[in-house]
Amino acid sequence: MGNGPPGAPVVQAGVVMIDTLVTRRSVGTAGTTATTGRAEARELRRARRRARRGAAEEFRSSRAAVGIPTALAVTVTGGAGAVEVLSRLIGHPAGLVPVERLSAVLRQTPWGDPRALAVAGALAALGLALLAAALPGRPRVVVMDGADPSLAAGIARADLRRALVRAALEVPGVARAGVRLRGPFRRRVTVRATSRYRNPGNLAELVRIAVACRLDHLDLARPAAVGVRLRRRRD
Amino acid sequence: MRPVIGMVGAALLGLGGAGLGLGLADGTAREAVLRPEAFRHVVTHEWFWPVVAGACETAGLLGAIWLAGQCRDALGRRRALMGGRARRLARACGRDLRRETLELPGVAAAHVRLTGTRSRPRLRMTVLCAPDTRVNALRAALVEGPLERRRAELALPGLVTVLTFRFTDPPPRPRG
Repeated sequence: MGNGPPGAPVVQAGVVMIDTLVTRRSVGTAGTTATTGRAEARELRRARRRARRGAAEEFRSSRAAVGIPTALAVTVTGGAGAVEVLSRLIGHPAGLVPVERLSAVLRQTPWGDPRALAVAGALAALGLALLAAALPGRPRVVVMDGADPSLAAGIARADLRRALVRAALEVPGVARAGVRLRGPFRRRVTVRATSRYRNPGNLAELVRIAVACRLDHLDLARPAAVGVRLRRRRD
Repeated sequence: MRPVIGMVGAALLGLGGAGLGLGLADGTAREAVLRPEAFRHVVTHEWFWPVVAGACETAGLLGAIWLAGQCRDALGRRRALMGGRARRLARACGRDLRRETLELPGVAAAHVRLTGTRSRPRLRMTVLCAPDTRVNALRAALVEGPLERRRAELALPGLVTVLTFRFTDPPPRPRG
């Protein structure tokens, strides 16, 4: 500082001050960048979640085979009931429902009668069947990951299983392999492999790596943990 | 539509369960399903039949709306419910998309179909590829290339595409 020309300290002080300001500003910019990055990451996560839900909705069965007959039955029953009651109220029975006969039968039939029990049982069984049909079930297509809400991509479940079996069989020493895809929420791939070696060593780990690697290339929306059950040759 | 199926199922289960309960309980098993008190109740309450008629009408109307919605949904998943010009344009785009998809590495076959309505069109694609194909890379190539071009061509940048990958199926064999 002392070696410089007169006025240098002032200049240097100014430089130091400017440096400090620049440093502060750059720290501020870095902070803003970090905040923007976090916001972008959050937005990306949301987009992925939206896309995953949309894709799952696309591939989910609508149960039209159950829903359409049920809707038809509700429409016909409700419509016929309404027409019959309204026509009787205005004094011109439509005769869609045999009300008198039904009423006479119901007046004579006790709740404990086998026919009444059978009808009640049939209704309960039908209700149970409909409730079972309303459950999500196992989707035929496994959804792939992605952030584009207008793209629903997936892999046919049976084909996915075959691809994983193939990956397991490509490991030298594996004679047979089967794969089960389990769990709708916490997915798990269970590989059952049979080795032709008496002492397979780390073959289970190699199979696990091969299957996990194949899964990695398939980019599923819900990554699955891979478990291997290895049977060795015994003779 | 599943929740509605579940609701109808729950209602039927409730009715059937109640009937079974009344039939199997000692106190009510010998009572008639329609008792004289029920008739008296209906006669003394004038609002009863209009309310029943209203309930039946509501059920019938809701059932009809549900039926129409399901039929439209089921048809829309399989067919293109849109006018002639839009359909022709979509068919031409589908052919181009199929041809360009077949040029991508690993793709053995591709089926493209435009379904849905004019307001909610869907492009359904099934891509058959070799078993060792890197599906994530193939999807990226498909989306960034042919699919993006077809969306621009149809002037539908947000055209929903349902893409199903399948693998060709030579039987897997063990190595070594």
